Amino acid sequence: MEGTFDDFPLLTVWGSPSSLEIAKLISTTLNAQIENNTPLQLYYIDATNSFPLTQFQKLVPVNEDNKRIYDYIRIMTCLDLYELNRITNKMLQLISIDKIQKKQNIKHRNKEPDSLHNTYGILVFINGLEVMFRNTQMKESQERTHLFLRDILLRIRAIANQPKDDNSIELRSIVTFPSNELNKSLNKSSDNPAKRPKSINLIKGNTIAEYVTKFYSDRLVS
Amino acid sequence: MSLGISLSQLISSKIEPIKSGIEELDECLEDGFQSRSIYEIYGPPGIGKTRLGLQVMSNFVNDKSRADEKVLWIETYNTLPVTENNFSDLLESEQVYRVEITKITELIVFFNKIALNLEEYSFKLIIIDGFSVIINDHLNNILKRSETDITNEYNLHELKCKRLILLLTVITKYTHSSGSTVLLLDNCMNTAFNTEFNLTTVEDNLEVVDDGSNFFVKNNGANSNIVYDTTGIKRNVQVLKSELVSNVGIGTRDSRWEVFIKARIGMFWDWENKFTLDNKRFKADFSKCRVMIVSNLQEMASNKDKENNDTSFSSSFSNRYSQNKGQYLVKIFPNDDGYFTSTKPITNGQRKKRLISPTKSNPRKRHTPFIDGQSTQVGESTQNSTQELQQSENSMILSIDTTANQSVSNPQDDEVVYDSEG
Repeated sequence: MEGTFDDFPLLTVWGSPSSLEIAKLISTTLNAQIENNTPLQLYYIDATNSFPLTQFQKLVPVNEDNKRIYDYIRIMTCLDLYELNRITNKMLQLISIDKIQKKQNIKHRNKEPDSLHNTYGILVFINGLEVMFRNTQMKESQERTHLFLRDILLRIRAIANQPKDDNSIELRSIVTFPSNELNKSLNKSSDNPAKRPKSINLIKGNTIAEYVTKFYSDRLVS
Repeated sequence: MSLGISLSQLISSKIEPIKSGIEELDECLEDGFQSRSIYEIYGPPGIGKTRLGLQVMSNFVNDKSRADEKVLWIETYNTLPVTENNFSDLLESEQVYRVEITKITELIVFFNKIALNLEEYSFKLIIIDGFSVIINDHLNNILKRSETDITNEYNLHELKCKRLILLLTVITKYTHSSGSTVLLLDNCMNTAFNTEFNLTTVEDNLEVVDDGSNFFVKNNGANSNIVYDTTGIKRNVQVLKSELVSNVGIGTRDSRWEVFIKARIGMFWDWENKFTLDNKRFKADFSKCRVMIVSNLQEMASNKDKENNDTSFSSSFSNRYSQNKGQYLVKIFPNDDGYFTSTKPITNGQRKKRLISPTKSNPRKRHTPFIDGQSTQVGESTQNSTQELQQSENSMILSIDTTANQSVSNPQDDEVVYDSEG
């Protein structure tokens, strides 16, 4: 997956990225934005402790020069859709507060690292959405779990889709899924039936990854 | 309003990884067992899973920088076997806690409870000895129930995945909140005893041999990617999988709970062969040794070209073993104190050479040997092995036998390829 932050669509689905690929994307995107004086805040929402710390530290060594990059990355653990909903709400509140403050031209006194002061945009990385969905499914009915998922994704898209003005913060999201959950979507691109993998290893039925790809994503990266 | 934790905070508060004491294994695991992570260690009975767990616990307790931190050993069907070997001092340590749990529900309740009281129950290392036995036991009970009551039809695989997701979610919550590391010590299995099970829906490269043994085998025929089989002759190699994967609830959706596991370490028997040129003929000398296959499940699932990956570690291995993506192979040897190391101690044969004397005295006997009822390493007594050791050994021997024979005839082609499960 390549490109600058502005090239990213509102919501991208990324099939089975390796740790190195994630680390590379994060480091190149954040570095480029800092060089352009348009820093990004990265929210890494994760269900399985998968942030590629070792690979990231190799690409961006821990030192005084790189301290800003490390400050701009925030990691959140989230094991079900309730928690994801809470995080999404907080994120949207932060964006709204920042917008209001900019409109009222209030000087930012809050210099906490998580405040969106001087932030050009937010890149949200969600890993393990299928785990969160399944965990919620165990506590809630199928319909209610779907409602939760739809609500969260819709709100993320709605905020990202707002018309751009000087006060708004850009929001882009990347959702990662294991490739075996995305088999149907990935195989559609191959028209040649001979090149399609055998169906016996595939998960039957529609997966959450397929659903999100079909109805909420703008781009599928394999 | 704070949202999550910044990466700089996370690094400054990062807990040092727990060393296994096996240098090469630590290197594979990025400097040891990481905090906030779950690892699975599996292997046949007697291979030394419990011993490895005790070794990790011993390293933890002996680390002075961790003097204030606690370790928890969860027993399932075996008590902590420290009294019989060199780890007996662990019992006296104030850092070590034990609990016996034999049911899934107990385990869930236990982790939920300790998560609520982290100040008192903040264990930095938790080892569950026989985790797979709890799951297997649960599934077998359900299977029995469904046999007696035909109205109750369960999809055992679906059920297994649900239970494991529930259980591993609770454990993950605890590890994230307390920064702890969890090691699951599991058995391995090779069985297709569920006769109604249609194997072709699970793995296309496995089959069941019609000899009554009901073992999964991998056919290393002409189309196989097994490099040592150059003759194209059909040879069946038994496949050992983790008991969490290969049980009555075998199926296609294991990846759904495997996402919680950071790395899987398989322990297996192997032959270590040396060749000597004796009167223009190669003479092979085989001795049994242990190997570990470390699988980074996330990397394997990514299924991408890893050309840019740092391969310096894998290249340091002998070319006897081929490296799969996200998999590493480590040879381990037990030393006189019962600890596994990646450096080979002096072999029995070499010792004999050095210690030949008319009195036949053996000064090495002064050392307290590591006594492990399950162990079958070279030079150790195998009489105490009460489990299905012979069977599991044969499984592994069978898989490597062809390699050995091939190697004798053609030492240049001396390669073994392990599949994802060994």
